Amino acid sequence: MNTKTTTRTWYVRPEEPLQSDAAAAERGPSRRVHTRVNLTQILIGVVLAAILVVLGWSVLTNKNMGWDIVVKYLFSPLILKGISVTIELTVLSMVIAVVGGAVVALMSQSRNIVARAMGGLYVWFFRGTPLLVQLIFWYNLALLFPRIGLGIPGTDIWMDWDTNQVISGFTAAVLGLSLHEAAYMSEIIRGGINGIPKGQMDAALSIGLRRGAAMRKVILPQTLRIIIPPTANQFISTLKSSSLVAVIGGGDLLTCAQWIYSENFKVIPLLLVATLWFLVMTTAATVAESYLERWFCGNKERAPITLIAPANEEE
Amino acid sequence: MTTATPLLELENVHKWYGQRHVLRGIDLRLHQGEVVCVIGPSGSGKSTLLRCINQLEKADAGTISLGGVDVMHEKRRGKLFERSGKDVAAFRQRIGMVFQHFNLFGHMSAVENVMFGPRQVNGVDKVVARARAMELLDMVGLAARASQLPTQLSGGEQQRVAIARCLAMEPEILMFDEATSALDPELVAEVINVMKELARAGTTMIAVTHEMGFARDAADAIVMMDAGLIIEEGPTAEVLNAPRHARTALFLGHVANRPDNRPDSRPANRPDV
Repeated sequence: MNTKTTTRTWYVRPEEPLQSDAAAAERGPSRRVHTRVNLTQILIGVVLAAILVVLGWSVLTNKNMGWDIVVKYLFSPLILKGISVTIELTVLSMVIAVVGGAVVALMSQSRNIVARAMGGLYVWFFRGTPLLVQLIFWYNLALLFPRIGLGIPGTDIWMDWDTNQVISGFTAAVLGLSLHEAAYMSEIIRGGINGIPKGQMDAALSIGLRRGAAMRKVILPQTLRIIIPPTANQFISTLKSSSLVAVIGGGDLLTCAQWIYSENFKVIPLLLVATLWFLVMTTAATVAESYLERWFCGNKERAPITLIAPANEEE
Repeated sequence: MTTATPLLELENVHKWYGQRHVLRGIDLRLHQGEVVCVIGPSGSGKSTLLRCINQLEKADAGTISLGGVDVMHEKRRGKLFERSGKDVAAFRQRIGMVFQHFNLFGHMSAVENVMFGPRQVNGVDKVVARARAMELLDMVGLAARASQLPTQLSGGEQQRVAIARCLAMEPEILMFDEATSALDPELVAEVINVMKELARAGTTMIAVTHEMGFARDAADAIVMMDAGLIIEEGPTAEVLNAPRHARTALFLGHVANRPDNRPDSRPANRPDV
């Protein structure tokens, strides 16, 4: 049978008890390996550090930075008011954007073709136009509709207001930011829904749930975990883009800084004040985000196993 | 065989995916208490057939009736209309389905998965639903793992929870869509054992499977599908031992040579807890 004459012994590991730490120690200490010194890396590091020091020194010691003025205005009441408006604007816009985005996302997932078209149109329009243009547009709404009215058809109940009174800088800012962010949020939520394996819907339907109930009870709760990181990112980005409302007098941090320097002409120090506060806010938001993420997503066990299983089911 | 109305009856069922004719006229009858295994090469339409039966896919032509009632259409003023979503959901509830990839709800523990249907669909009281869910988990040997999340369970355990989740709805028919295909070879037996136990208890079952051992032991009849058609059906022993269609013989030859289907080398059945 075996035509080859080479004899070879095949190795079979003999059965033995697992090695204890003591047995491992008996083999003696492991050899010490020393780290190599890499001259090139050290050189690159030194040069870069030197550049940083020179740049930093020239900026920080520049008289025109006006650090004394920065310190003077850092906690001035108007600046603090601006900070609170920035936070209000961001939080309010994001809350509206999440709710609105969910509605738009569900519309664009709907089986109703009109709803789907409207959802698509909304995203196309609000993602396709600059936020700055939208803000100026909402601020000037009165030119389009001088009066805004609300009424119940078929009754005499009718109320209307002067558009210029309703649309202040702040309301125009909230309107512009939230409508804009809602378009982005709807895409995030849509992505989250599509990220849930199809089998989850199949399973929910197969035990007799209606499609809507399956969406609410099975799909959306699992979507939440997927959309939290991008939503937090969107929050941070809104925090920064909210400064655009300065052009319509939105009353945010940048607006307040501008108000001050338009009187005392200390442009750079006041922009520095705004910059420092934006850094504080975005850093705080980033830290909060990482906690939130760990809280919701860190528990990887909660992720559906089906995400790992290959999705190439037969047919 | 039995002369009573079949529990499930398919007549000339067709399904297209675009240009692809996946089911090309399926006739099938399943009586109360019968266990039928559907076999056939991949792409032959087995899974689509099951998905059409509980209307996860809509059959394009033909009738499917459960207990003599058309599940897809209703007659109003002499005309046929599609069933409402509510009716479809009610029919689905009467047919349990076990999936290849288990599809346990990822955000719920094992016991929550099993309670979910009765709670949401039938509005069963929480305490009652939990007690019943625990009974079912105990039946599949997983009472001790009730509070684990799907990711903390092995594939075999997940599939057994999925079976318990189906049983919680007290379905009249249980469908298995390649329930063991995604499992490691060592975990197949624990799921097959539960399936056999259910078959022995008189559950009406239709199982798409490549586990010939299960078919041989538990199935009353075998249905062989190829290219969207049933090419042969008959009592288990007849089809497996003396297939009449050449394609069936060829298919059985291939399947029988898979190591895990040779009777002598099957892994020993591990006793469940």
